Amino acid sequence: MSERTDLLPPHLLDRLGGLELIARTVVRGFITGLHRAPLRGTGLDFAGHRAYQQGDELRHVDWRLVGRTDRYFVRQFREDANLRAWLVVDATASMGYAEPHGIPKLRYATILAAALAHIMLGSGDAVGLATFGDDVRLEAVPRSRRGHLHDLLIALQRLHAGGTASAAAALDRTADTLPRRGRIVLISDLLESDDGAALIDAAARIRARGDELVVLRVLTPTEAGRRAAPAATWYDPEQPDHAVPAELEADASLAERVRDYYDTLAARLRAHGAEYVALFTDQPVETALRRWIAARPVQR
Amino acid sequence: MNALVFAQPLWLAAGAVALLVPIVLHLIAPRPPARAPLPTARFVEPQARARRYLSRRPRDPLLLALRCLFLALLFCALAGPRIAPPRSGTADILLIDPAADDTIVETARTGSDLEVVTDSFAGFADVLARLPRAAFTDTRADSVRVTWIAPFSQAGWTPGTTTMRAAWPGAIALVEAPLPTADTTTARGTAAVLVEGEAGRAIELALEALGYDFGADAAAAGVVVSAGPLPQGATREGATIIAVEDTGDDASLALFADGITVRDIAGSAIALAGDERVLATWDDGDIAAVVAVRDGRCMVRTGIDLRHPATRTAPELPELLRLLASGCAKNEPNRALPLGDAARTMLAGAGLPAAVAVASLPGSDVAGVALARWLLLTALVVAAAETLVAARRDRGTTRASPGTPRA
Repeated sequence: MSERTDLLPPHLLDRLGGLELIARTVVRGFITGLHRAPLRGTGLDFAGHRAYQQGDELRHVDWRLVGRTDRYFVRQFREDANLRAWLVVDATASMGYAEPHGIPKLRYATILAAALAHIMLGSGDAVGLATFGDDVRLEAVPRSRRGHLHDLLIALQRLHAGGTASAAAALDRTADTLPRRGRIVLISDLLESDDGAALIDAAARIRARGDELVVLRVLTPTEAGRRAAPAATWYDPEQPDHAVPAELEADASLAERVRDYYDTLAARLRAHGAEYVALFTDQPVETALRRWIAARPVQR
Repeated sequence: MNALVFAQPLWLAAGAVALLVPIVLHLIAPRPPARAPLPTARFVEPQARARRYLSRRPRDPLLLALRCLFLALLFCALAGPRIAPPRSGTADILLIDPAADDTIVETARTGSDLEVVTDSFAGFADVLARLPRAAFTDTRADSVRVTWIAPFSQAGWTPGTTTMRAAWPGAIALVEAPLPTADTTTARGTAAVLVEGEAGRAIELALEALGYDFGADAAAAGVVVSAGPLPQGATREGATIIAVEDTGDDASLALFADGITVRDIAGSAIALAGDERVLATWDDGDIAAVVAVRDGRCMVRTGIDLRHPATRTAPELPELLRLLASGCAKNEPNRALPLGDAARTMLAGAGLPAAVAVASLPGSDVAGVALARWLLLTALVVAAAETLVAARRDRGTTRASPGTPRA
């Protein structure tokens, strides 16, 4: 899939306005040119017929039955047969980091989550929002009704980076609410204090239940060692007492160490059947979504 | 308009050099790295040694400015600044011996800024000692030249020149002025009479040895030696009267008179008055004998105790008496006792600067408004501010602040 040049970079996208406008812009840019629905087959179960009532959508009229019975019936679908999905957004202290002239990772994650919510709700899925920062919070339970997107966007707008809660705790908490196979989309920088060991275990549990797990890793180029930075005493916002004086441009193997960490994590996640996509904050959000879609396995 | 003057300006130069020290240190000191958040800091390899390099911009400009200001104030205070009335030009100061001829004195007065006149030979040392203060307070010049106008005819000055020379830090131009012309309308007497004194007989014999005839008629005497007041009409017109004055001091001194050196004779100093001129001096410079014409008679006043045994036995006494007796016959300045060359050289201060800077004179530092204490006080305040700022900087670099991640 080639990179589009007409897409707004994240720092300019962020200036468009409210999160709703940004999400619509992203989705429009994302869907344009796609030949198929991005998230087809999300589980619309036929639940039977009922008599046509004024106001029912004509597309739901079962015309075959009309031909056979001369009476108008509409198909009914079970709402709870739709996919229930959780968007789990990392709001720990490390997500507040931003490069010079860049947007914070948390802002990138909220735009990504808003776009995903827009897409999934448009596909009829029930989408909820959970965050973990100071602690795990279920901001909005999965719903698919009209207006729920607005609730999700409001909750996303109010997020602030802080705290050191674990992603594994958030995954377990959200997975416990899913009655049957659902989808959990984790948007995080995956900088866990235990190098992701608990996260891997949680992913294994989720996959064992049959739920779908998508991990979208968000990172800045500087954190990945791909961009130089002047000499400073660097400290992890989630571990501020530990500081390291260094010039990043003089640390040639930083990119390699960071890459090794994430490659190991990705391999372990994929080994349990989770999807993993590495995203950088200097990529347009639309591109990030397309990379994810392109990397998805065959839709069920 | 007042001027800012410095008593020790070399401290300013030292301060300029001292200012270079903090400037250089702030340029070459290694910069402490700023704390910055990086969530992947766990993967960063620590680099132990911070780079040290010479920067075009000094580290911590505020701290540097405070340190430079402190040094500048301190060294300015050490330089002794004062706000003083403005001074310019060179003033000429004349020291005039009243015995000097008026003609040359008037000529020298033209163009001088300050005139110090002493009527006492012995006062010149005091005059020179007081001269610096007078030069500073009575002139608006920033340097002064001293010219001394005097006959310089006293050999007795030689011992005293060292004291006089030490009082003035610069050279002194010596202008030798002639003595006023003496009145020569006198006549030598042909006899001498001793009017009083128990030892007068000895004087009589001495004068007789000089060729003076004694007679019973005092009125006919040509030279009269008197230890007290003479009766009216005791002398005739044209006589020479040698009046011995007893000032009460009785010392054994050496006498210098017209090439004659008489040692170990008794006598005391007398003061020069009016139109008198000096005939003889003691070795310490005090006047031993003076002469003047009064009412047609030659009046010789002397402090030489002619009655003292030491005087009477001095082998040079006859020559001395002849000098005293013929005092009015001399119509030229008494150059028999010139100031020695060594004394002249010492008095003139050969090798010293002709013009002396007023600011360097003793007492010049008391004029004007002293600023040193105010500068020192300000320097203390600046030092306190520097200490506070430096302490805050140290706290800021060692504080383990978590930083504020952006949302």
